[in-house]
Amino acid sequence: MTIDFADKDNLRLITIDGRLDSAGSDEIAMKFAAMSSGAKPAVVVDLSKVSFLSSIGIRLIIQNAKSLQNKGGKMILFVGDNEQVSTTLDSTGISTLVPMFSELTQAEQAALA
Amino acid sequence: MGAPLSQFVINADRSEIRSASNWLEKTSLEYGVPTNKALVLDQCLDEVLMNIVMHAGSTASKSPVELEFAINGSEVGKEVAITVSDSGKPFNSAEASPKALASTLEEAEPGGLGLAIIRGLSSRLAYEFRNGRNFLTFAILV
Repeated sequence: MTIDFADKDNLRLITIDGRLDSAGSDEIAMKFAAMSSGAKPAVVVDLSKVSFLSSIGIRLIIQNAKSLQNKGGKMILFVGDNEQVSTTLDSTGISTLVPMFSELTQAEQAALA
Repeated sequence: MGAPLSQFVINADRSEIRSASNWLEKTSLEYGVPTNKALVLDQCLDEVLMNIVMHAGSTASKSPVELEFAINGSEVGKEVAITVSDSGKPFNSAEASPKALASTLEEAEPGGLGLAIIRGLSSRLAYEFRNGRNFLTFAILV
């Protein structure tokens, strides 16, 4: 389970790679919170390499998206062609709360809008 | 329903859920379950086990959680069914109402999505409580 970030002007791209189940969520929780704590107001979270997304992983995303929004920022999700992740986000309705895109450029534009 | 082809036991402990997932992955491969279907089973199992660990109460840790893997034939096709039994407080996941989804991020409360995921992904859910244990079966068509 890895999490990393790269900054470009006002945008931060956080990339998560691996299995976002309970154990994986525990592994990255502190880093994810720190990376999305508002250092950059626009955050895109790249979930395209996440092999498994559980409700615990979704809980983590919601917590950090809310926290960022409370600081005036915005979180956008990028899923690429990851069907497992996009299906889970759609079926739970999370994609209506935290916008989700399959194209990275669209996700970045939405975060900066 | 067919007899279980494989069985596995874990303690109701968050740290043991990954081992159940590994058992399911190996068993699914052994019985030729397509990878995308095995992933769906894995996701449902993770949610069921997390619900037990987080919500089943202290009695759940008094005896192991038992898992069974079965393949059943029916008029609508072949299904893979996973039965999970635990000694926690009675809870009918097959009939409990999932938490209503918030309409905005401000209103959203983290958690409570496990049931929605299980309902959304499984093609059949069945529950019974007997001999002091919950028995929840979820199945998907393969």
